[in-house]
Amino acid sequence: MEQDDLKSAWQNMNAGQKTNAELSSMMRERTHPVLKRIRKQLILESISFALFLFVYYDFFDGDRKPVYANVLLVSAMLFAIIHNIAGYMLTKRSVKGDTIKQSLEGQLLKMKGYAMVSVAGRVLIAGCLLFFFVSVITFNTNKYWILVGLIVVIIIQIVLLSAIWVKRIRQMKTTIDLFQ
Amino acid sequence: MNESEFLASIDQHQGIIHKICRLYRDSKEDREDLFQEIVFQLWKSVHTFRGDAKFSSWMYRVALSTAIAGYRKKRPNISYMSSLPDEPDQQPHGEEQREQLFQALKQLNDADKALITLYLEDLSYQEIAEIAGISESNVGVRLNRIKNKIQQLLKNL
Repeated sequence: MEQDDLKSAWQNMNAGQKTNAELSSMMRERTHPVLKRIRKQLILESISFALFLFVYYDFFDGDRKPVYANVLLVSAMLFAIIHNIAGYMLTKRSVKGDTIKQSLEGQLLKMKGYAMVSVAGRVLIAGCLLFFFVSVITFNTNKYWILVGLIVVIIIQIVLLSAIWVKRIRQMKTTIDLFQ
Repeated sequence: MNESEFLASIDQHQGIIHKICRLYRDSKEDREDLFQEIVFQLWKSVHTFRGDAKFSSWMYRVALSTAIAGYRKKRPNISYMSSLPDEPDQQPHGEEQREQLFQALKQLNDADKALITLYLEDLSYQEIAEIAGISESNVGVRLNRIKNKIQQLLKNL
Protein backbone atom coordinates (compact mmCIF):
# COMPACT_ATOMS: atom_id res chain seq x y z
CA MET A 1 0.00 0.00 0.00
CA GLU A 2 1.47 3.38 -1.00
CA GLN A 3 1.50 6.37 1.37
CA ASP A 4 -1.42 8.04 -0.36
CA ASP A 5 -3.35 4.77 -0.21
CA LEU A 6 -2.65 4.59 3.54
CA LYS A 7 -4.03 8.08 4.07
CA SER A 8 -7.03 7.50 1.85
CA ALA A 9 -7.79 4.14 3.53
CA TRP A 10 -7.60 5.85 6.94
CA GLN A 11 -9.70 8.82 5.95
CA ASN A 12 -12.37 6.66 4.28
CA MET A 13 -12.72 4.34 7.26
CA ASN A 14 -16.23 3.93 8.55
CA ALA A 15 -16.54 5.71 11.87
CA GLY A 16 -19.58 5.51 14.11
CA GLN A 17 -21.94 8.42 14.57
CA LYS A 18 -23.21 9.58 17.95
CA THR A 19 -26.17 11.91 18.22
CA ASN A 20 -25.92 15.29 19.93
CA ALA A 21 -28.01 13.96 22.82
CA GLU A 22 -25.58 11.05 23.32
CA LEU A 23 -22.57 13.37 23.17
CA SER A 24 -24.19 15.76 25.62
CA SER A 25 -24.87 12.94 28.08
CA MET A 26 -21.21 11.86 27.87
CA MET A 27 -20.08 15.23 29.19
CA ARG A 28 -21.80 14.60 32.53
CA GLU A 29 -20.05 13.15 35.54
CA ARG A 30 -23.05 11.06 36.55
CA THR A 31 -23.06 9.09 33.28
CA HIS A 32 -19.27 8.52 33.15
CA PRO A 33 -18.88 4.68 33.02
CA VAL A 34 -15.81 4.37 35.27
CA LEU A 35 -16.94 7.07 37.72
CA LYS A 36 -20.35 5.39 37.90
CA ARG A 37 -18.72 2.07 38.86
CA ILE A 38 -16.50 3.74 41.51
CA ARG A 39 -19.52 5.64 42.90
CA LYS A 40 -21.52 2.42 43.21
CA GLN A 41 -18.60 0.74 44.98
CA LEU A 42 -18.14 3.78 47.23
CA ILE A 43 -21.81 3.78 48.25
CA LEU A 44 -21.91 0.01 48.82
CA GLU A 45 -18.71 0.00 50.86
CA SER A 46 -19.71 3.06 52.88
CA ILE A 47 -23.06 1.41 53.77
CA SER A 48 -21.26 -1.84 54.69
CA PHE A 49 -18.74 0.02 56.88
CA ALA A 50 -21.49 2.03 58.56
CA LEU A 51 -23.43 -1.18 59.28
CA PHE A 52 -20.26 -2.84 60.55
CA LEU A 53 -19.46 0.10 62.85
CA PHE A 54 -23.07 -0.01 64.07
CA VAL A 55 -22.89 -3.66 65.13
CA TYR A 56 -19.21 -4.32 65.88
CA TYR A 57 -19.47 -3.09 69.47
CA ASP A 58 -21.83 -5.99 70.26
CA PHE A 59 -20.68 -8.61 67.76
CA PHE A 60 -16.94 -8.22 68.31
CA ASP A 61 -17.07 -7.17 71.96
CA GLY A 62 -15.91 -3.62 71.30
CA ASP A 63 -16.83 -2.69 74.88
CA ARG A 64 -14.28 -5.20 76.24
CA LYS A 65 -11.47 -3.95 74.06
CA PRO A 66 -9.16 -1.02 74.88
CA VAL A 67 -10.09 2.40 73.48
CA TYR A 68 -7.03 2.44 71.16
CA ALA A 69 -8.26 -0.80 69.52
CA ASN A 70 -11.70 0.72 68.86
CA VAL A 71 -10.09 3.88 67.48
CA LEU A 72 -7.87 1.78 65.19
CA LEU A 73 -10.87 -0.17 63.87
CA VAL A 74 -12.80 2.99 63.06
CA SER A 75 -9.62 4.40 61.45
CA ALA A 76 -9.34 1.29 59.23
CA MET A 77 -12.87 1.86 57.91
CA LEU A 78 -12.13 5.55 57.33
CA PHE A 79 -8.89 4.72 55.44
CA ALA A 80 -10.89 2.42 53.15
CA ILE A 81 -13.42 5.18 52.39
CA ILE A 82 -10.62 7.78 51.87
CA HIS A 83 -8.91 5.37 49.47
CA ASN A 84 -12.08 5.05 47.38
CA ILE A 85 -12.61 8.82 47.34
CA ALA A 86 -8.96 9.31 46.25
CA GLY A 87 -9.57 6.88 43.35
CA TYR A 88 -12.71 8.76 42.34
CA MET A 89 -10.94 12.14 42.41
CA LEU A 90 -8.01 10.76 40.39
CA THR A 91 -10.29 9.42 37.66
CA LYS A 92 -12.27 12.67 37.58
CA ARG A 93 -9.25 14.95 37.15
CA SER A 94 -8.75 16.42 33.72
CA VAL A 95 -5.83 15.75 31.39
CA LYS A 96 -3.23 18.51 31.73
CA GLY A 97 -0.18 19.44 29.65
CA ASP A 98 0.57 21.18 26.36
CA THR A 99 1.75 18.00 24.62
CA ILE A 100 0.92 14.28 24.78
CA LYS A 101 4.30 13.69 26.46
CA GLN A 102 3.58 16.28 29.18
CA SER A 103 0.06 14.87 29.73
CA LEU A 104 1.48 11.37 30.18
CA GLU A 105 4.15 12.64 32.58
CA GLY A 106 1.39 14.29 34.63
CA GLN A 107 -0.60 11.06 34.54
CA LEU A 108 2.46 9.14 35.72
CA LEU A 109 2.80 11.43 38.76
CA LYS A 110 -0.90 10.96 39.60
CA MET A 111 -0.51 7.21 39.21
CA LYS A 112 2.50 7.12 41.54
CA GLY A 113 0.61 9.17 44.16
CA TYR A 114 -2.43 6.90 44.00
CA ALA A 115 -0.24 3.77 44.11
CA MET A 116 1.28 5.04 47.36
CA VAL A 117 -2.16 5.82 48.82
CA SER A 118 -3.39 2.39 47.73
CA VAL A 119 -0.49 0.38 49.20
CA ALA A 120 -0.21 2.50 52.37
CA GLY A 121 -4.00 2.26 52.81
CA ARG A 122 -3.89 -1.54 52.55
CA VAL A 123 -1.09 -1.70 55.15
CA LEU A 124 -2.94 0.63 57.54
CA ILE A 125 -6.30 -1.15 57.16
CA ALA A 126 -4.77 -4.60 57.70
CA GLY A 127 -2.67 -3.34 60.64
CA CYS A 128 -5.62 -1.63 62.35
CA LEU A 129 -7.91 -4.70 61.94
CA LEU A 130 -5.19 -6.99 63.25
CA PHE A 131 -4.58 -4.78 66.29
CA PHE A 132 -8.31 -4.67 67.04
CA PHE A 133 -8.82 -8.42 66.96
CA VAL A 134 -5.65 -9.37 68.89
CA SER A 135 -5.86 -6.57 71.47
CA VAL A 136 -7.42 -8.74 74.23
CA ILE A 137 -6.16 -12.17 73.20
CA THR A 138 -3.98 -14.05 75.63
CA PHE A 139 -1.38 -15.63 73.40
CA ASN A 140 -0.07 -19.18 73.52
CA THR A 141 2.21 -20.91 71.00
CA ASN A 142 -0.65 -22.00 68.69
CA LYS A 143 -2.21 -18.53 68.65
CA TYR A 144 1.19 -17.01 67.88
CA TRP A 145 1.50 -19.31 64.86
CA ILE A 146 -1.97 -18.33 63.65
CA LEU A 147 -0.97 -14.66 64.03
CA VAL A 148 2.26 -15.28 62.07
CA GLY A 149 0.18 -17.01 59.35
CA LEU A 150 -2.19 -14.04 59.14
CA ILE A 151 0.70 -11.58 58.93
CA VAL A 152 2.29 -13.64 56.13
CA VAL A 153 -1.02 -13.62 54.17
CA ILE A 154 -1.29 -9.83 54.59
CA ILE A 155 2.34 -9.33 53.50
CA ILE A 156 1.76 -11.49 50.38
CA GLN A 157 -1.34 -9.43 49.50
CA ILE A 158 0.59 -6.19 49.89
CA VAL A 159 3.52 -7.48 47.82
CA LEU A 160 1.11 -8.55 45.05
CA LEU A 161 -0.67 -5.19 45.12
CA SER A 162 2.68 -3.36 44.97
CA ALA A 163 3.77 -5.55 42.04
CA ILE A 164 0.60 -4.64 40.10
CA TRP A 165 1.29 -0.92 40.61
CA VAL A 166 4.99 -1.26 39.76
CA LYS A 167 4.00 -2.99 36.50
CA ARG A 168 1.50 -0.25 35.59
CA ILE A 169 3.99 2.52 36.42
CA ARG A 170 6.73 0.79 34.43
CA GLN A 171 4.42 0.45 31.41
CA MET A 172 3.61 4.15 31.55
CA LYS A 173 7.32 5.07 31.84
CA THR A 174 8.10 2.89 28.82
CA THR A 175 5.41 4.67 26.78
CA ILE A 176 6.73 8.10 27.85
CA ASP A 177 10.27 7.03 26.88
CA LEU A 178 8.93 6.25 23.39
CA PHE A 179 8.10 9.96 23.06
CA GLN A 180 11.77 10.98 23.63
CA MET B 1 -16.34 28.01 24.45
CA ASN B 2 -19.89 27.30 25.61
CA GLU B 3 -21.63 23.91 25.69
CA SER B 4 -23.39 24.15 22.35
CA GLU B 5 -20.23 25.35 20.55
CA PHE B 6 -18.31 22.49 22.17
CA LEU B 7 -20.93 19.93 21.10
CA ALA B 8 -20.91 21.24 17.53
CA SER B 9 -17.09 20.96 17.38
CA ILE B 10 -17.11 17.43 18.84
CA ASP B 11 -19.86 16.39 16.43
CA GLN B 12 -17.78 17.70 13.52
CA HIS B 13 -14.67 15.79 14.66
CA GLN B 14 -16.22 12.68 16.22
CA GLY B 15 -14.92 10.44 13.42
CA ILE B 16 -11.37 10.76 14.71
CA ILE B 17 -12.48 9.88 18.26
CA HIS B 18 -14.10 6.70 16.93
CA LYS B 19 -10.90 5.79 15.07
CA ILE B 20 -8.73 6.42 18.15
CA CYS B 21 -11.05 4.22 20.25
CA ARG B 22 -10.88 1.45 17.67
CA LEU B 23 -7.10 1.71 17.50
CA TYR B 24 -6.44 1.67 21.25
CA ARG B 25 -9.15 -0.68 22.54
CA ASP B 26 -10.09 -4.20 21.47
CA SER B 27 -13.58 -4.89 22.76
CA LYS B 28 -16.73 -2.96 21.86
CA GLU B 29 -17.43 -2.26 25.54
CA ASP B 30 -13.93 -0.84 26.11
CA ARG B 31 -14.25 1.32 22.99
CA GLU B 32 -17.57 2.75 24.20
CA ASP B 33 -16.05 3.49 27.63
CA LEU B 34 -13.04 5.17 26.05
CA PHE B 35 -15.24 7.26 23.73
CA GLN B 36 -17.17 8.57 26.72
CA GLU B 37 -13.97 9.13 28.71
CA ILE B 38 -12.50 11.18 25.83
CA VAL B 39 -15.63 13.35 25.50
CA PHE B 40 -15.70 13.83 29.30
CA GLN B 41 -12.00 14.77 29.40
CA LEU B 42 -12.37 17.14 26.45
CA TRP B 43 -15.25 18.94 28.18
CA LYS B 44 -13.36 19.08 31.50
CA SER B 45 -10.27 20.48 29.73
CA VAL B 46 -12.13 22.85 27.42
CA HIS B 47 -10.83 25.86 29.39
CA THR B 48 -7.28 24.91 28.25
CA PHE B 49 -8.28 25.31 24.60
CA ARG B 50 -6.82 28.55 23.30
CA GLY B 51 -8.71 30.02 20.40
CA ASP B 52 -5.47 30.78 18.52
CA ALA B 53 -4.82 27.04 17.99
CA LYS B 54 -6.94 24.70 15.86
CA PHE B 55 -9.69 22.89 17.79
CA SER B 56 -8.69 19.63 16.10
CA SER B 57 -5.03 19.92 17.26
CA TRP B 58 -6.12 20.45 20.86
CA MET B 59 -8.60 17.58 20.53
CA TYR B 60 -5.96 15.17 19.16
CA ARG B 61 -3.72 15.89 22.17
CA VAL B 62 -6.42 15.32 24.80
CA ALA B 63 -7.95 12.31 23.02
CA LEU B 64 -4.65 10.53 22.39
CA SER B 65 -3.36 11.24 25.94
CA THR B 66 -6.61 9.85 27.37
CA ALA B 67 -6.44 6.74 25.18
CA ILE B 68 -2.79 6.02 26.07
CA ALA B 69 -3.05 6.78 29.80
CA GLY B 70 -6.32 4.90 30.38
CA TYR B 71 -6.15 1.53 32.03
CA ARG B 72 -6.99 -1.39 29.75
CA LYS B 73 -8.78 -4.02 31.76
CA LYS B 74 -9.17 -6.73 29.14
CA ARG B 75 -6.95 -8.63 26.80
CA PRO B 76 -8.11 -8.98 23.19
CA ASN B 77 -10.43 -11.83 22.35
CA ILE B 78 -8.55 -14.15 20.03
CA SER B 79 -10.58 -16.62 18.02
CA TYR B 80 -9.12 -19.42 15.94
CA MET B 81 -10.64 -20.53 12.66
CA SER B 82 -10.96 -24.22 11.84
CA SER B 83 -9.30 -23.79 8.45
CA LEU B 84 -6.83 -21.44 6.85
CA PRO B 85 -8.29 -18.71 4.63
CA ASP B 86 -7.75 -18.98 0.89
CA GLU B 87 -4.87 -17.06 -0.63
CA PRO B 88 -6.06 -13.76 -2.12
CA ASP B 89 -5.81 -13.81 -5.90
CA GLN B 90 -5.80 -10.05 -6.24
CA GLN B 91 -4.92 -6.86 -4.34
CA PRO B 92 -7.36 -6.04 -1.54
CA HIS B 93 -9.80 -3.23 -2.22
CA GLY B 94 -12.04 -0.90 -0.30
CA GLU B 95 -13.22 -2.18 3.04
CA GLU B 96 -10.81 -5.12 3.03
CA GLN B 97 -7.86 -2.80 2.47
CA ARG B 98 -9.01 -0.52 5.30
CA GLU B 99 -9.45 -3.48 7.64
CA GLN B 100 -5.93 -4.71 6.83
CA LEU B 101 -4.53 -1.26 7.54
CA PHE B 102 -6.29 -1.19 10.89
CA GLN B 103 -4.99 -4.64 11.83
CA ALA B 104 -1.45 -3.47 11.00
CA LEU B 105 -1.85 -0.21 12.97
CA LYS B 106 -3.12 -2.09 16.02
CA GLN B 107 0.17 -3.97 16.21
CA LEU B 108 2.20 -0.77 16.75
CA ASN B 109 3.15 0.49 20.21
CA ASP B 110 1.08 3.28 21.82
CA ALA B 111 3.45 6.11 20.87
CA ASP B 112 3.77 4.98 17.24
CA LYS B 113 -0.02 4.66 17.02
CA ALA B 114 -0.34 8.30 18.11
CA LEU B 115 2.27 9.56 15.62
CA ILE B 116 0.84 7.64 12.66
CA THR B 117 -2.71 8.74 13.55
CA LEU B 118 -1.64 12.37 13.36
CA TYR B 119 0.21 11.71 10.08
CA LEU B 120 -2.79 9.93 8.55
CA GLU B 121 -4.99 12.84 9.61
CA ASP B 122 -2.81 14.91 7.26
CA LEU B 123 -1.05 17.02 9.90
CA SER B 124 2.34 18.53 9.06
CA TYR B 125 5.51 17.34 10.80
CA GLN B 126 5.57 20.63 12.72
CA GLU B 127 2.00 20.13 13.98
CA ILE B 128 2.73 16.50 14.92
CA ALA B 129 5.86 17.61 16.81
CA GLU B 130 3.89 20.27 18.72
CA ILE B 131 1.12 17.84 19.71
CA ALA B 132 3.38 14.91 20.63
CA GLY B 133 6.09 16.95 22.37
CA ILE B 134 9.04 15.69 20.31
CA SER B 135 11.29 17.47 17.80
CA GLU B 136 10.27 17.89 14.16
CA SER B 137 13.33 15.96 12.93
CA ASN B 138 12.48 13.12 15.30
CA VAL B 139 8.94 13.04 13.87
CA GLY B 140 10.39 12.55 10.38
CA VAL B 141 12.71 9.75 11.46
CA ARG B 142 10.04 8.02 13.51
CA LEU B 143 7.38 8.24 10.80
CA ASN B 144 9.71 6.73 8.20
CA ARG B 145 10.34 3.78 10.52
CA ILE B 146 6.63 3.40 11.31
CA LYS B 147 5.65 3.50 7.62
CA ASN B 148 8.25 0.82 6.81
CA LYS B 149 6.95 -1.27 9.67
CA ILE B 150 3.37 -0.93 8.44
CA GLN B 151 4.40 -2.03 4.94
CA GLN B 152 6.08 -5.09 6.46
CA LEU B 153 3.04 -5.86 8.61
CA LEU B 154 0.72 -5.48 5.60
CA LYS B 155 2.83 -7.92 3.61
CA ASN B 156 2.55 -10.47 6.40
CA LEU B 157 -1.21 -10.13 6.84
